[in-house]
Amino acid sequence: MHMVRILLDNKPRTLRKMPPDGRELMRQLGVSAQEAVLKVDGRVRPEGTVLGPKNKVEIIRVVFGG
Amino acid sequence: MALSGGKDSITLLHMLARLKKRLPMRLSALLVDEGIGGYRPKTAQVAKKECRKLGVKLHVISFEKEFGRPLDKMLGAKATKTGTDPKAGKGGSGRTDKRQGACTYCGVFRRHLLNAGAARLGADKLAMGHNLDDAAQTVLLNMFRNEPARLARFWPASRAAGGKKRFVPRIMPLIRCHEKEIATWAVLNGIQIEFMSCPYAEEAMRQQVRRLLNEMEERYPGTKSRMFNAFIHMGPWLAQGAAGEEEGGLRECVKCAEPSASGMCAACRLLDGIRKKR
Repeated sequence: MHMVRILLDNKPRTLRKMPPDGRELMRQLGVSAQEAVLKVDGRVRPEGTVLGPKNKVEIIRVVFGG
Repeated sequence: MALSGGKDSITLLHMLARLKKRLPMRLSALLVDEGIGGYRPKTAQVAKKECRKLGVKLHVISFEKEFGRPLDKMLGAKATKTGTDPKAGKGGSGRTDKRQGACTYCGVFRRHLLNAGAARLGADKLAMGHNLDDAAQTVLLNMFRNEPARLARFWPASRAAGGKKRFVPRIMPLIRCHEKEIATWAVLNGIQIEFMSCPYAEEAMRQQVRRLLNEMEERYPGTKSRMFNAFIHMGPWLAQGAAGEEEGGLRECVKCAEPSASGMCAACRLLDGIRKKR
């Protein structure tokens, strides 16, 4: 089966298929959209950005508290 | 400005340094070293580096020098590094009774030193990196804890305490910016930021309130702004009520002369408690 790879906090994660958009991807990863930034092909994008299997997708958690 | 080395204050430092070029103002940074092993040295390093880069003078003031011992020793427990892992936290925090209340000690002493430090520097304003998330959390926390007087004191203090000696009015230029917006700005501008949590942070009720508000914001966008706006509208009544209860709002502590809501300030009361336990 073809898998897709994304980066979460600079660490690779493998998914069965790319979720339709950044918000759904964050939901699947258990990351709050309020606490993370979505990068698509190296650029910061809104969470609602549509994703495709060829996109280089990165989630960076930026809100850790304290 | 108060500089911790976290994303909010580093972002504020960059913004104020930009403004300094256009406005007739002087800018110094004040960092309070609480003495939290494994956490503060790293963020202090970032603060020093960014200040050097921007040509802003950094003044460091420590719990150890001012109060005789670092926070870790005040609490009788050494900070672990587990809290620096963003994935750690939702589960067991491994906290002990000794470590409970860390935020109380830290918050009181930090506020005390920031005001005293700013006064020593001759500052007429102390800029803080508080954001909208902090403000909404503070409002909700004080409601949950039934602490209206504490909530009233959060209302623009510079207005309530105008004219008091030794009180350096605080300004919060980022108070209407979401925490995520600030972090995103930092990422977009390539600002080096240590995204790490204080090892004591997870024990605070604030973390639960943070999650709750983030869930609400997801479901009902604008929740945090509306909550803050409601607080600003209620502020004058809250401040009036609190001033009545405390016979005049802020005054000088009988022991250290720093601003206090009662006869002796919270920092002096806590220090007395620590000394008695020795």
